[in-house]
Amino acid sequence: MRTRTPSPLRHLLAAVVLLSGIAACSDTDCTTSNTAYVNYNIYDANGNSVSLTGPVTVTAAGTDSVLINQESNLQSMQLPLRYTSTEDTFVVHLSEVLFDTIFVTHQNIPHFISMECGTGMYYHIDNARCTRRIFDSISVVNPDINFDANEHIQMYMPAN
Amino acid sequence: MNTFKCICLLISLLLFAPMQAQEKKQNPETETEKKPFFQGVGIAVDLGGIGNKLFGGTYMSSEVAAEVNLLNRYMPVVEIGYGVSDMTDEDKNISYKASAPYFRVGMNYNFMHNKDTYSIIYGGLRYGFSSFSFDISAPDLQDPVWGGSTPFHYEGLSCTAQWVEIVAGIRAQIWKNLHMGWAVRYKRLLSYTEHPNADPHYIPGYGVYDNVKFGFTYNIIYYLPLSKKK
Repeated sequence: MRTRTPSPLRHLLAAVVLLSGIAACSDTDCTTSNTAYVNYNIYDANGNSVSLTGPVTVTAAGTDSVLINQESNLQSMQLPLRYTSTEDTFVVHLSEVLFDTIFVTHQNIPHFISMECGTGMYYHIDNARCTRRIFDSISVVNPDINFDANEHIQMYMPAN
Repeated sequence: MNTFKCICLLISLLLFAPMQAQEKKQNPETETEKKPFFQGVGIAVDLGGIGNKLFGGTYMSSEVAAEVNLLNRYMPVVEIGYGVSDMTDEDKNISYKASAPYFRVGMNYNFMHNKDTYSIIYGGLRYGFSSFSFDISAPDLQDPVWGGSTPFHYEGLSCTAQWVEIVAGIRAQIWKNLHMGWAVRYKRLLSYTEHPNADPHYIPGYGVYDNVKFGFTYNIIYYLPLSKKK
């Protein structure tokens, strides 16, 4: 009677088939705009996430750019940085008379992503500060800005 | 997870094959036939890397290897090559240049060591290393919000990379000491130098950057007539 034992050849063929299956799994995931944004979240004095009451407008100081227009219940915001500058200034308006100014100093890092996705601008935040009419303080929790959806800056409201 | 299973399978191949051979050693006929420890030296050239460019690939490599045959079963091998990539992506207008030598060391295991044949089926492991620099340039980055642009052109970004490979292949005699064979290589990048402006697109000896990838080699091997292969 003939017995069948697993031959090295059959092992080898199985391995090649498996390896080919892994090789076929390749995906490319490019962001649509290749623009990295700074993600801000708003907290109360106890560190709980809160939203700003009333419509919020955010503008870039020195320009007529409106980055956020009359948005209600704002808990977080995504703001861009300028490619050709190392300091950007944003104004957060709750009304015509109640506003705060955010100053962000940063390094601009042109970055090759891949042949499929091209290039994009990354940043490193050196410092962030703000005036204290609406907010109490500002803190950079992750200074490296790329296409990951991380939290970068925390804005704290006053205690009362 | 699939990758892990695959690595386990190939490692088990390398481990089980010697056990099968141990069982066969109990056969009195094979016991009397003692093989010399040193069975010869083979010199191989890879034609697959050259063929890659000819068939429209974005890089080319040429490679020689020296392999020592021990007991017709274990085959320590050193591979030295030179990889070149000089390409421009027509859609994105991105140019990338890199050229450098690379090295691999490792060992093959002949699954057909107890067969009286010049053809072999083998599996093996490699450790690969390359130190190189690359140039990359792309169109200026245009600020989509405020306008303005920033140039993108970098030269001489130095990089080192190391990786491991699992190899599976076959070889056959074509004329006297001349053999021919092909192999597939499963490659996994261990580490590389990261630059703030660009990661390498092509790594000599590894190929186009990806954490995991496949390679293919087509070899012509000449066994030096130092001693008989069998």
